[in-house]
Amino acid sequence: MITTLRILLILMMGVLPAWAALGEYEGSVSLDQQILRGEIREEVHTGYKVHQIITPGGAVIREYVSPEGKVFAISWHAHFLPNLPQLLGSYFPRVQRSAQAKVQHGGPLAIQTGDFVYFSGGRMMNYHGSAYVPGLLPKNITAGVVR
Amino acid sequence: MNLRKKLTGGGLFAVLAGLLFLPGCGGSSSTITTTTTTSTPVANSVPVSVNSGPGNNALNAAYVTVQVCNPGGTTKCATIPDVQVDTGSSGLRILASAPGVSNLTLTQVTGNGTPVYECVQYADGNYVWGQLEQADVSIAGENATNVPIQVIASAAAPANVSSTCASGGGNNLGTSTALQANGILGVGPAQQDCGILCTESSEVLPYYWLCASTSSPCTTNAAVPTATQVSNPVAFFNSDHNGVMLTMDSVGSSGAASGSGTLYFGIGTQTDNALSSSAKVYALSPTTQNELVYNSISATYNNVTYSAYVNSGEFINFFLDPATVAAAPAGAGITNCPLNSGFYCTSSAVILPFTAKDNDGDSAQVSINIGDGTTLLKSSVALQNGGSNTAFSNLAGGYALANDEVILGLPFFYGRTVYVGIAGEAPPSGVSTSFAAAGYWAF
Repeated sequence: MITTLRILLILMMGVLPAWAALGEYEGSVSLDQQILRGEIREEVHTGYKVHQIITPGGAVIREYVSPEGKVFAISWHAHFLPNLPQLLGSYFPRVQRSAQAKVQHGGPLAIQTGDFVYFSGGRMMNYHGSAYVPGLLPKNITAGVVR
Repeated sequence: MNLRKKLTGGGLFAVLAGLLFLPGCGGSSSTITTTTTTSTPVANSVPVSVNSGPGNNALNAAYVTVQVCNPGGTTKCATIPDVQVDTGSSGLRILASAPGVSNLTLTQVTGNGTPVYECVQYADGNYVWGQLEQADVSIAGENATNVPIQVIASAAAPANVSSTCASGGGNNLGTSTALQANGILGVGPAQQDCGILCTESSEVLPYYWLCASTSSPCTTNAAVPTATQVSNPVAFFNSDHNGVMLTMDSVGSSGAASGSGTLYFGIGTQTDNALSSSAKVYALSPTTQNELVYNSISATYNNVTYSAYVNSGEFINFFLDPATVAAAPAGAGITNCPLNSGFYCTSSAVILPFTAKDNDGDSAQVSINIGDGTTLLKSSVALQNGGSNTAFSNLAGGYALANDEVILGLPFFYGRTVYVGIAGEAPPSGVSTSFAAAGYWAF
């Protein structure tokens, strides 16, 4: 599993990891007010790192960053759907198109394309999902690390 | 917990008996000896129908008819057909455009005098938006007064919908075609749809909103006491309020144009809703996934244990992902359908066994059936190409990014009786009272 895992607890007074939308460079987007209010933690894994934030409402959002500094994946576990436009950035319109084209109401929403993979599942009070850009996966890292 | 006081059927009978036998002036002074009062059982069951629904587009949606009335014991009521039975949520939601609803005058739920609205987002990004109102609700012979319900706004895109509600990217489900129902009857294990987390003003979740205006987007998130949150109406019934029992008839392996069953109110409260001796009772318990805590049971497949949830509101069984299923001999041959990604395909019928389990050591082997998704969907109304089937007992699916989760949807219910015990309500004899902590399932 994880061979090297260092967890650095970065408190509000310390250096905040910069947040960015999927596919963008780490630090390319300023921190959202809501996100700023959460507790941010940085995990360093072999080959990538993860910024995790727990918002006051209990949403756990994880942002996966490649060694090149690009956000290659996002995941969430929350009592409500997180702010997807903010997390997915330029990929959000694809979710919109897919959601609005869905014939059968209910169940999860999944998108499986060559350059964007997305899943959103759950029900009231328990939502979870993730998204990644296959082309941005770091060397030797598979989508299986996205949790 | 609800603060309201319940008058049980037995209690009501006792009060009436007392009135009837009140010693009159100058009448007999003999003491009236009332022994045990046997409550007259009320009709506690309602037929369940699986069909294509009000939009002629539904798959595996189980409907009942619900009566919603003006509060205060009036006879001004709307009889609403095609309300979907959902064991995965709590609370009654009806479309403002459903039959008869526009003639009702319900009691607005307010916060500081301002109407409270609710946004419910679904995982697929679609959402419903509408006002909280208190209504009297009747199903079969069961009556509940002043139940907080949600009246889903009728406009396709209500002008005051909060901006966060649409952030999932989907559509407003404010029509019967979009919702594939006239309403949703949430009879899950919880008393309210949100609960304690929506009462804390410091960290309130974005479900409830204070909306002073109907023409501009609501921006004020509301903390709402549990007493006026959208609530499981079963827990408000005068009798048979500790849960439900849903019995669905079997559906063959090729699917069917319709399905049927019966929804009983109460568990072990009448002769017709006794907990079957063959049913195993599973206590819900807190599950932590990436630090989010929610209630579930578990399913063990191929020696690995996953979280599991029983949800009649889901139209298929979601069971891990194709690779994980096919890795065990029992699931050999299961693939992702080439034309219908997310559904399972197979060249021969599969019976997939797994162990349902709770944290109290209750466990039993159960199974789901999996047929060929492409063939089944072709025969369905959903593809709108001539198919007429709406009920399928063997539709399943799954996704690689959800390879750690089992959701037992309506297909699981066919040919079974499933009980849903409501948290905070007394379980029937034989079930530990500790199971009332978070509710329970039995099947």
